[in-house]
Parts: sequence; structure tokens; C-alpha cells
Amino acid sequence: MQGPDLKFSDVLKAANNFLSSYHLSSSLPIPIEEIVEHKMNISLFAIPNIKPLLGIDAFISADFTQLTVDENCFIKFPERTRFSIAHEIGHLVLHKEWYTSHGPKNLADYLNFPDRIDNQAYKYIEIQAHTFAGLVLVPRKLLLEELRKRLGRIPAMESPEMLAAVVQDLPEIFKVSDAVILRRLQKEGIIKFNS
Amino acid sequence: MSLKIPRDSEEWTTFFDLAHAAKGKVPADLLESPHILSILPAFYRTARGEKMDKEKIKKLIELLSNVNK
Repeated sequence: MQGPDLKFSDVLKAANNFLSSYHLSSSLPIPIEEIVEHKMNISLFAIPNIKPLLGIDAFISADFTQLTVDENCFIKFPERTRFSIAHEIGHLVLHKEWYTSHGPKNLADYLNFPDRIDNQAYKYIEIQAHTFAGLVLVPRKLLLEELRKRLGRIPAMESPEMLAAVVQDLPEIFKVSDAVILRRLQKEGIIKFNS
Repeated sequence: MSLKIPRDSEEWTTFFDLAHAAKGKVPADLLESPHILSILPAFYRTARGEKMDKEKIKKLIELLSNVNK
């Protein structure tokens, strides 16, 4: 089975629409937990051991009303948890319609569902949710504003070493990991991919 | 040796759920429950974005059915 046919521009548009709908003020960090619980009315749960037992950081329920995170991750790694929440919301925004049409209709079907999705299609679905999460937690406009404040310009294709001192506080400002900031800077063409 | 667990008690249900889970089977009443499908993940985040295998899905069903009791 193939996944939803989405391009980067579709994911970018969906992320921008999401921010326009739920966080017009542009304050940082993006309050993803509050948006999910209070504006989208999705219940957030933390339950123990889904990471060590099953390798899952977070999941969104099949009826898209509950979002569950690993309790230990929630307590110890808030930035990773915020990204996981944004990632699952990405699935809701981008893939709910596809899942409703193509998803399993009973539990027996559910057990076989992962095998029915083409591996490459599954990988793209995950990349789309990941991209959405990065764009929502580190919005392009706000990332560029932070750089302009520091440098008076928007750098292009610089080496990470050249910008390291300037961007070192961005993970704290956006409340995401260093790796997320690095990927976003690469995606926006601010630093080189292969440095 | 007989089990001293009253039939239809919560312990009886838990015991048989766990026994089925240990055999890698999903209890029949869970299979028929419309509720369980709605609380199972549509999507999940793993470290490398890999799919869960059937055994892990069964473990998750067991975990969620216990959490939701």
C-alpha cells in the first residue's frame, strides 16, 4: 500500500496553517503542549515503559483524540517530548484523512497493517511528520528573525563552525534539541549540509 | 493444584489476559472490543522511524488494556 502523496511544499503549507490557526502571537517557544491540550482538545497522557518495552517515544490514538508519551521521556527529556508531540500532531494534520480511508477496520486487520504499508511509503510518512514538527517548533520566519537580530543579516551556506557561537542559544530559545536546530538551519540553507 | 481466583473477578480477567499475552495471543474479548481499536496508535514515533513488529503491537495492546482497566 502506498502512503499519502505529499510534497515538502504541502508540509510547509500545513505547518504554516497550523501556526496561523493556533499560535498567531509568534512568541517563543511554541507552546505545543498548550496548543494540543487547550486549543485542539486532545488529551495528553504520559504512561510508563512504552520506550523501554516497545521503543516508542509517543503515539497518537487511532481516533486522534489522545496523544500518549513515555513517562520517563516526559520527565527527563522535555525537548524530545515536545518534538514527539509535534511529530504526532504532524500525523494528525497530514495523515488523518489517509488513515481514516486506508487504516485498519478491526483488531486482526490492525496487527497486519504495518506489513501492508510499503516500507518506502512508511519512511516518507515518518519524514513528513518529522519535517512538520521541525517547521512548527522552529518556524522559518522566527528562525530568520533570531539570526537577523544577532548578525544583522541572514547567512547562507555557512559552515557550522562559523555560526556556532551565534546559534548556541537557539535550542534554549526554541526549546528543542541541538540536532533539531542543526537540521532546520541546514534545511533553510543557512549552513552547509556536508560540513 | 487449582487456581484460587474467583471466576469473573478482575484477577481472573487479568490472569487470562496475561496468560494469552504470554502465549503471544490477543484475548478474544479484546479482539471483539470496538474500544480497543480507537485507543491503539494510528501512528507512533520510534528512535529510527521503524515499524513495530506484531509481537510489540501485542505487548502494546496488553499494556493499554491494563492501563485502561
